[in-house]
Amino acid sequence: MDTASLLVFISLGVLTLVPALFVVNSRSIVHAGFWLLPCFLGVAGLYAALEAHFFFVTQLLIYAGAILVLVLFALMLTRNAMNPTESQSNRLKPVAALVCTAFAAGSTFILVKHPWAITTDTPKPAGVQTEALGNALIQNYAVPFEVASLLLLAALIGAIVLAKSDRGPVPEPAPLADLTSGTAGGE
Amino acid sequence: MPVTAPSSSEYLPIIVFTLVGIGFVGATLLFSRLIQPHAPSKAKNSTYECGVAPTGNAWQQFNPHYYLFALLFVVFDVEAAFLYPWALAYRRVGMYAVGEMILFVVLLGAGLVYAWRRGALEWE
Amino acid sequence: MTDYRPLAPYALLTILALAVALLGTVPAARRSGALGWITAIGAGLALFISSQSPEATPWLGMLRLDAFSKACNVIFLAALAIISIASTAEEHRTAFAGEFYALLTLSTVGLMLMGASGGLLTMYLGLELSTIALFALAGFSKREKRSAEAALKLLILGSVASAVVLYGASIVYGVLGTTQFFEMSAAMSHPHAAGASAALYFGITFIVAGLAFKVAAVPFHLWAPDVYEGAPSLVTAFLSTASKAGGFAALLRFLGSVQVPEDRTISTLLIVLSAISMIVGNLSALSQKNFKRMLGYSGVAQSGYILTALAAGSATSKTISSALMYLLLYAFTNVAAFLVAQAIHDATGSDQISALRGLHRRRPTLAFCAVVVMFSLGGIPPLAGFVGKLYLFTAAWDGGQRCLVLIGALTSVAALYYYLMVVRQIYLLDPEDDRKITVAPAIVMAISLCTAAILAIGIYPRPFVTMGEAAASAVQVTSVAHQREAAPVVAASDVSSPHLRP
Repeated sequence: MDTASLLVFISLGVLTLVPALFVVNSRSIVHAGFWLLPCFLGVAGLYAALEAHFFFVTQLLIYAGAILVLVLFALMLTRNAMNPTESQSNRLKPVAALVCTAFAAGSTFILVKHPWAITTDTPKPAGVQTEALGNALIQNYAVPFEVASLLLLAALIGAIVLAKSDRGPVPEPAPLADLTSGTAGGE
Repeated sequence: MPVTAPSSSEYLPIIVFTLVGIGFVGATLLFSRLIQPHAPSKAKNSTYECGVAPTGNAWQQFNPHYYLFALLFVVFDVEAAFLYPWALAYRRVGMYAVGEMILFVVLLGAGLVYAWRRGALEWE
Repeated sequence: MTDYRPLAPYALLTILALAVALLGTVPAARRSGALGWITAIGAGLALFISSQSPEATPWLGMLRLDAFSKACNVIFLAALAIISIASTAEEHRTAFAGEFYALLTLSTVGLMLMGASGGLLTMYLGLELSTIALFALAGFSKREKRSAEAALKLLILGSVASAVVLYGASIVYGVLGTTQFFEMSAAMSHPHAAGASAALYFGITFIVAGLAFKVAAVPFHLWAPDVYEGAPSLVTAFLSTASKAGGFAALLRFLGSVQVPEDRTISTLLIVLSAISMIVGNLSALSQKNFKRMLGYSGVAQSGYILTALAAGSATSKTISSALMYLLLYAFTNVAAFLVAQAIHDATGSDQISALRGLHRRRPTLAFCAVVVMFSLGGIPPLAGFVGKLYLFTAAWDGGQRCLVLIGALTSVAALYYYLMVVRQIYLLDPEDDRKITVAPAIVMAISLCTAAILAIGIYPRPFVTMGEAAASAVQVTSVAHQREAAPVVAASDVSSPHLRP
């Protein structure tokens, strides 16, 4: 890999990881939410550097666009989002840092040592790639494709349950004794 | 070669454009900082320089309905993202592909009907 | 042409989920209390269709609809049907009854996909589908803070666990170049394969760890007692049985069909998980005062028992059949246990073990069922729990895990203590309040069904063992019959190269 590619990779990595640190360390939850934006853009940049054009666009459209908006709206629902006085960590922080560093070092060692089968093909143009993806989705990966739709459906129903107030045309909970008397009373 | 050099990449214009954009905003801010007079006072630093002094916290809990709309947006945004590769592939696969996409859309469409029936689209 | 008939149960449940969600928006339908019965009948119908349908491996083995997936479906659908019946008692209390059943059904579809998965992608999506529906279900009692806390804990830890599975899967895909179980085995046995490299074990470890969260094995169990306690008991009943069985189904499918060469790493991992699950789970359960929390820790220990068999070699037919059988009887037992908790909570407003005090005076049939359930969990002979444990420990013993069997036997004795403490509360102590308590007939019916199943499996386990053995031989099939004759797989590597190393 040449120097220019390495430079692009490293700068995109920094663009992804540094905001990610801010996301977890910000004392204000709104700031944390906004720090997600450069983080998502960095990931999009990585897709672009890999010439995975469709994923680049999807990452921008869905993560930087829709999901970030959803996260910010979710933050606005909270009653006390601005609480900059409370610390974001606890006394286990050094232990956690140690474990994470050891894990990162170990996994990097294992993953770098592995002889990956690196392809030497030139990446195909965007249209060809996306068509191949579409073919895969429709033919052999039809099950994951349709399950994705079920997944969205479950998320939709679940979110409505949690977000919607259950006031409204519901009768007050009747005492159980009234409902079961006569049927379950006798033993 | 998985990671390509920016010189050979179609993304070069985007990179240049982004850098120019950031540079332009930065330069403008820096320039106005350099030439502006700097004389703060208590009244100037208040939220409304010539208005009623604000009380309490600016943070306010929003109506949960914003969240539901944003969620519906995400769901159908993801659906739209799936439509792209499908649209490219369906020429070769034909009716089978159409059938699958109909199933995909009908499942989410039923979800929308449900959300509508549930009153998630109405403003309380 | 692909045979689509085996997909009928999945389609039926999807339609069922949509139908109950839509019916739930009609106030009249909601008030009638029929939604739970519709769900239960739908689940029963799906179970029937599933047992009758032919076997198939559509989409080049993306799905494997075979004896194993059918056996798993029995567990999931039985749990769904029984919990739906019991939930009819609570239906009038919520405005979201339709959603409750819809989410429960969608979660079941996800679990069924995990059981039928022929590759990491299907497995992961099944895991996600089942877990996402459970997030909302755990927070279903919106007026209770504990329920919201349970939902949040499940959401955060569950998301981390599924990210861990995905991370592991991405590494395995990077090493082997495929996500399909059959092709993974082939890639590993290929002479030029990088084969059993450290990176491969690393990836597999992550997948196992993520699934260990789903089955609540130590050290990935910390969520279980809190969530079990906070979530509504009807949801906990599902979470602690069907959801756990889904995790085990995926583990068995994955470890059973992917024959990792010289898998000492993986078996060591399973031995450790199993041993500490049994020890930590049982010892923590001893000091619990809250009934649901105690059942939560007991569930951790039960996962440890099942893992003993897995540690003995996940591809052997004894392991798979004994684990499946245990999961089935455990589903009936634990669903009944949490329904007892629900009934007691309805009657006394308390989840403490002491609330069961003198139950034999206040409601003799419920007391009898509760004691059967406790004896079965404790593994006392004529009941299902004993037979299941016997098969599990035999499988582990034959696989050479004698040390684990010893730990299992010793901790089972400790476990007997806390189960018997519950029995003591129910039968030996006199109630402070002598009045009869009322239990909703639907819950009584569901508990009776479970008790009957526990007795039946305990007395005549043969058909279930046969079912497990058929399932085991289905997992061990090592290739899809009609492999790669249809359109060539457009490998995802065309689109996103996994080879990220700079």
